[in-house]
Amino acid sequence: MDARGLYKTYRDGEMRYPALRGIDLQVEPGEFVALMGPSGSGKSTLLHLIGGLDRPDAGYLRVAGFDLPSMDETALALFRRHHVGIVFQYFNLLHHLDAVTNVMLPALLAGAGPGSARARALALMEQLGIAPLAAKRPPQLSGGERQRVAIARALINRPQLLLADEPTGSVDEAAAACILDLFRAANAAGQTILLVTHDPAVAAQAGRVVHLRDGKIAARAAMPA
Amino acid sequence: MSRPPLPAVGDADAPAPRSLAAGTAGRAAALGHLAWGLLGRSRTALALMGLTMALAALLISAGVHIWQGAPGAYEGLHALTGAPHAWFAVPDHPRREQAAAAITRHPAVAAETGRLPAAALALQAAGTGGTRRLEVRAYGIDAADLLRAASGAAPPGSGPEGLAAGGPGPGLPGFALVAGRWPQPGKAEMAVDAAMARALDLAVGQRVQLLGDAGAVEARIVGWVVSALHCPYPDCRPSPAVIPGRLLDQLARRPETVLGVRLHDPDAAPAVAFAARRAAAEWGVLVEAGNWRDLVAHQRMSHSLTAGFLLMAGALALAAGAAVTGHAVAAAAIAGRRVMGLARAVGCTPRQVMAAFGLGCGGVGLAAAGMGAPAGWLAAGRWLGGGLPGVPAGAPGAGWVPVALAVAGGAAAWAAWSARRPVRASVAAALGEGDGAVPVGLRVGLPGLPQLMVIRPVRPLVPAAAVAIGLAVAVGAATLASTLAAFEREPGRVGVFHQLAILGGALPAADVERLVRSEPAVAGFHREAWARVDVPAAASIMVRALAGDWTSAPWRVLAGGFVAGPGEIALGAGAMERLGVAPGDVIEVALGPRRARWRVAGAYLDLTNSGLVGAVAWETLAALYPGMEPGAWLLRLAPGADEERVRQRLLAAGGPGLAVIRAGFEPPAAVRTAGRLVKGLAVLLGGLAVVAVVQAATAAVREQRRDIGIMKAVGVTPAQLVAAMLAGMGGAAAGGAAAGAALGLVLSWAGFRAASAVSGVGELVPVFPWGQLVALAAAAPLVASLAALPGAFAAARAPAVTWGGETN
Repeated sequence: MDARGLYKTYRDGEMRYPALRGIDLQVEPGEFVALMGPSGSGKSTLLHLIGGLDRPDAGYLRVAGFDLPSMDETALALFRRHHVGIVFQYFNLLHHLDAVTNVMLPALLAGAGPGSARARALALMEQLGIAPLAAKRPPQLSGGERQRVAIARALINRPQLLLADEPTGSVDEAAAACILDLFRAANAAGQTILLVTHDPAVAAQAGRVVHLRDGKIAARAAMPA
Repeated sequence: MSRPPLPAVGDADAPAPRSLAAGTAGRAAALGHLAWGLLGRSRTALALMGLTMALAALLISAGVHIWQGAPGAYEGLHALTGAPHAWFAVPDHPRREQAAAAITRHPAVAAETGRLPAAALALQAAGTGGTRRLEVRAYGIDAADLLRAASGAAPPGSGPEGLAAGGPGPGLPGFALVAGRWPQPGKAEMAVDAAMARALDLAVGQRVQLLGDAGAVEARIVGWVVSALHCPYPDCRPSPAVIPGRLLDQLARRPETVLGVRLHDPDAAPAVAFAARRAAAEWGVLVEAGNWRDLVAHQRMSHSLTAGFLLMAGALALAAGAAVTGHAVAAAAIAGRRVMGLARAVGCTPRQVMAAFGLGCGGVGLAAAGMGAPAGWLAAGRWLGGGLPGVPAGAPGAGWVPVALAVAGGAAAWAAWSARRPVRASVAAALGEGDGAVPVGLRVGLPGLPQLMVIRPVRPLVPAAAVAIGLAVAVGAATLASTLAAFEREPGRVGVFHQLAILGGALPAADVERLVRSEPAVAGFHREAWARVDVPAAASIMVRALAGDWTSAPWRVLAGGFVAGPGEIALGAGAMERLGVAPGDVIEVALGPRRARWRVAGAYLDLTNSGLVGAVAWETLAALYPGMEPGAWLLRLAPGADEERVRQRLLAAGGPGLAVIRAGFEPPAAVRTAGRLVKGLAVLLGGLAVVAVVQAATAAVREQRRDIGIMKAVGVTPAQLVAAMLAGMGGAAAGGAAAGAALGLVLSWAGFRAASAVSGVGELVPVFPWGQLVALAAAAPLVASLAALPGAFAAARAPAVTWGGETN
């Protein structure tokens, strides 16, 4: 991932709210990077841009070889489908579908047959310890269980980049520890991870921490191995 | 700086309502604010709700008015013209006076209202569509009649008001002039029936040909009349006409005398007319009779079809309105979940929230129905007034008020009932949830199509119901149009198997038969004579006596068999039902002083006289009516023969007195009106269904914003989203279309059965236009999918994800 001179301003009528003011950030394959900063510092906005969920006003942004600012909506959707996995603070699962279908949805979109998508989803859920919950719907699951389903969904297409926005922000301590274990394990297996957090303890799990303040990078620090 | 102390818990100085009334007003104001806060958020839904309810109120109100107003309008005409309660056509007969005296001396008769000579004539007029010829019943008036009309002297029993363009008519009460003037004695002038004149575009000043059994003259139309002695609608035959008495003598060899009577008990008119006819028959005089109660019933029947269609359509529109109202309430409940939670957090009870919904929807319903119901009432009033020229429309009345209140009350009750589920959600949950958090109904993959996605619309029953109702009415409209077209194309379906008819009276019977036999295009013909025959203590029916080549004619037999020989009668369905007989039964009949016993061979389809008819062999009726003469010759032409050319050849060969008319099926005016109504309604409801689909699709995007964002975040492309939404809406509409098509078929079938039974005609079988129906059913999901496009594009444009909260 290579971002240079990224700018993003939100507008509400006449009001302008600058969110990013010239961000330069590079993430190498296999890295585990934590983005930290106070509320309003622009870390979630940066994650949206990197995930192709939003577009920068200016700057260079290349992820997995794709020049995101130049891509249309359909290309961005295909990019998200095949190259990134996103884990949200509030899980964002589809309540209408059971857990396994939520997990297999990106695989189906990517062209997998229903049988193989289901098998892959169940295998992943087995690894994450949530296979017994496959038939349950999100409202029947705890916060930690939902987040593990969301992680399984993010990983099912083996994305080059895993983005996580406060993944432990809505779960209890035990669940948070379990989720972090999963991220570490994924990273150990070669998964590139970019994670947004407020929590220094969570950031401590990353290989590198980038601090944002007022839409700019305030500091970069490599964590001790 | 010191602040004032907060009131303590349970402080007696806390604000409290100053009175019960003030408290109630305050609560009502709060509910009003809440209703607006909840319903005002979805104005498109509210507009749609108002539109459907206005439409439903309009149709129901119009149906109710026509149902109530049809006989009322005739009764108004009857009162205004001082018409008799019963009237009798006494033929030219040596004992005519004795027969008339037998009628007027009947104990139920209060007074005789007058006498006029009358005869059946043919009127031939050139107009749009060529020369038309039809039967009229001409009444002759003299100078004394005109003098009385000119002086404006109202006959006994006439109403307090005169008619718009002229006073009550001369001689025999029951006539009135509505345009022009009365014909002058000694001149070739006539006044024609106003309804017929409008239908045929006959203007005052126009010249027409009048033909009778004694000659033909060219007469000038000098006025339009209405008569309470005739069904005053264009499809009723024969129409009345008024001509100078001397002119009538020139045209008709033996005019009959029409005498009218008023009765002590006007409601007993049918029974008195029947009994008086029997009394006249004791003198050997066969008298035709009419009475005002039968005309009231006739109009009720002819209008019941229109009113029935309107009421049924109103009920369907109301069902669509209920669906749309439920949708509006549900959408408001979703959009206003937080408002609802806030209201409950500050002390609103669930009942009050439901009441607020009821209040809001009831208000919308009242406003809509307050516009729709009077509009329908007025339109129906104008229509009724148009059917009865000369009858003052009068004040529109307030009969629509109960309809409007019922629609508004129904909307309020339905809304309150629909809101009971949303108000059960916990307050905390309601406060915590944002808009757009309705889960998406997603189906991924179908056998063979693993990547196919379908997004079920929110509240799919609403667009499905709207499509179903629109399609059901469209199926009804298409079926009615197709059936009428089939009846007109193939009149044999409704028992009309001849192509031309020669009316009797102009030439001797032997000459007519010679003429017909000389025409090579005639494949077969038979002659008929008509007589009204009594079935004592039951009813009187028209009987057609058949002679010639009638056994090979394709009579439409409904039960048993057709007449095989003398002593048998085949009855029309109406007669069968009225007499309560079955094939094989024997009925006793009377014609004047003669009686006979006929075996019922079976039932057949006959449109004449509402099915109150029978058919017998010539000799069967001749035994009761020795002097019987042919009334008409019915001609069946060879396949491929040109009816008009044959008609022209016959006219040329027969001379100016010959009347040759083309046969066929002409739908009654009420049926044509009903057809136009159903077609218009199908278009309206189709439009409503499109609006409902558009609204459902856009509401879905608004309410499912969160899940749509999630789907985009995990890689669903805009095109896939559009396709998924269109597939979902198309699927819902396909279900609705299937249900609507089935409902339409059932309603059409039931409607024809009911019309068949009510009209007394018998088995009128609808002709379903299967190709059109399949095309309609197939088009409905496609149109619905197209109507869902704006919503689907909105979904495609929605942001990829919202980071909104997710609670339980």
